[in-house]
Amino acid sequence: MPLAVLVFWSLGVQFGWNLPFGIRMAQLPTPSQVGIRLADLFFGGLVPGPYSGDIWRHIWASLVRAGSGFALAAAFAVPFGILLGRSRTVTQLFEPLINIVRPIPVTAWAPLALIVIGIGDRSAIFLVFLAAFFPMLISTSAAAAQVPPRLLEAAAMLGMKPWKRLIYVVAPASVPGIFSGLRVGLGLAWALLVVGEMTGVNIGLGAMIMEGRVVSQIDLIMSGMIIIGILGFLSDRFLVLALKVISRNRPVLQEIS
Amino acid sequence: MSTTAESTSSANQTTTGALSFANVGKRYGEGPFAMQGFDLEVSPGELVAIVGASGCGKSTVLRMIAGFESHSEGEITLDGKHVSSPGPDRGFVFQDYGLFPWLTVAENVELGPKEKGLPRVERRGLVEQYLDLVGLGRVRDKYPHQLSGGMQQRVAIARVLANRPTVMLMDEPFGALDALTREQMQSDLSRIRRSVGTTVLFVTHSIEEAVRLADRVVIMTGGLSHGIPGHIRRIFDVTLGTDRDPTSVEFTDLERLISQEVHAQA
Repeated sequence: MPLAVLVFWSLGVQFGWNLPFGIRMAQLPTPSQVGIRLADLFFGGLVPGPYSGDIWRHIWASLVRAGSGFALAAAFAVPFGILLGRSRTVTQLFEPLINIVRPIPVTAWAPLALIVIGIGDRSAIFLVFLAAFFPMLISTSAAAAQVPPRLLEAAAMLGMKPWKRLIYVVAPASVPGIFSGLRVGLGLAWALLVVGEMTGVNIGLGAMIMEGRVVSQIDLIMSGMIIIGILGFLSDRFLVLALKVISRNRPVLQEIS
Repeated sequence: MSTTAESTSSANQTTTGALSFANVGKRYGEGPFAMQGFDLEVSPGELVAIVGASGCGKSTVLRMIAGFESHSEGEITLDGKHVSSPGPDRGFVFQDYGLFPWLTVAENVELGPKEKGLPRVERRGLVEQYLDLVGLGRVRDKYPHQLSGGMQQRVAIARVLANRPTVMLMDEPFGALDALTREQMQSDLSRIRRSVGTTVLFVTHSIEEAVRLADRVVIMTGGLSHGIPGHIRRIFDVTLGTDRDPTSVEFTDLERLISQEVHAQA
């Protein structure tokens, strides 16, 4: 399938196809041009320019922003989601607020963040945090609310105190929901990272893409897109691996009766 | 723990585990009573089976002792103390086992002793002792989903017993098992309770099971769907000794008697 996309892409560019939405494929570089640009970004010496051979710096900057925003969001969203799913008081206190803030697109926060926080890493991390936070929160709290009552009764009759049940019963029983929330959140983290980086910062994949637009280097834009796609894919794999390591292969993802 | 072999059906050295219901009633809000005037005394070490049509509130009785549900009238006491919230002195065996899927068999059994704060060595000893008692020593490192239903229920029983409860509450524990497994579990339960001496309150819809296992059989009737509050209709003493033969005349006579009482119109 990826091969078919490549073939379609190079034919489309060659013959100047026009696709729905008014996509003029003649505007695009060929796959080989993008391939050369990608090679140059990693190894240098092929396309002289400010990004030549310098991509790791940008990847690293983006990775740190996406990673810290995501981790921060997870650190708040998971415990809070568990409380939200299990406590009526917490739900009553926070649900209206959450439901008002949640529909605001994170892109709409961007201008505000730029003014209030200022241009730089912290703005980008904040936007990533916001983007990843809500899907994780909602999916964690839904999972926590659906923990089979039987398991909580079992823990209670074995003498486990209520707050400990949150940690040792609700949390592990919610792992499937928490985990799918983390995956959605991670995807959104990458999406908002680029938005966050497109305004003002000099380093990062989003900044590179924006620079590509300014100087009309479409191969640079597409290289940035491909790198982000691959990073997104790899980070998702990493998340799956991390779950396996943390759970030490316990059957946490299997259906709970 | 050593000389239990020749003890008779209810003669145990146990002194704790006296359960008492005095005029217990339950209603939801201001609605009609789902249960009313429930009186029952259970002696230490006794096994009492509760039978009755579905909806009569027999499971509710267990869940009220366990503290999973509240009662709105009367008193439930265990060794003179009122019961309210769930606690490790009242172990519960669920029909659907209720094992923690992410814990191994040994970890499931160890959970109660761990919550009590027992040191590791002592916990390990209890896990070993009770897994051996239910005949599951070899699967200690498996996860529940790798076991058959009967084995999972054995783990659930070991998990409760490792906590050394004063009473074990069993809510149709063998109801989800096939007939052969069920029969095996029944004879194992007879053996196990004689060796641990815990009071057992057992809810079942099988009269045969009740006659086979119990020292006394309590027949409940009524319930919200019948328009009258659930209550005890009659209590039968079962004096058939330790090794009960379900094909013997005494057994089948008693079974028939109880069955007539269960199915008679209220």
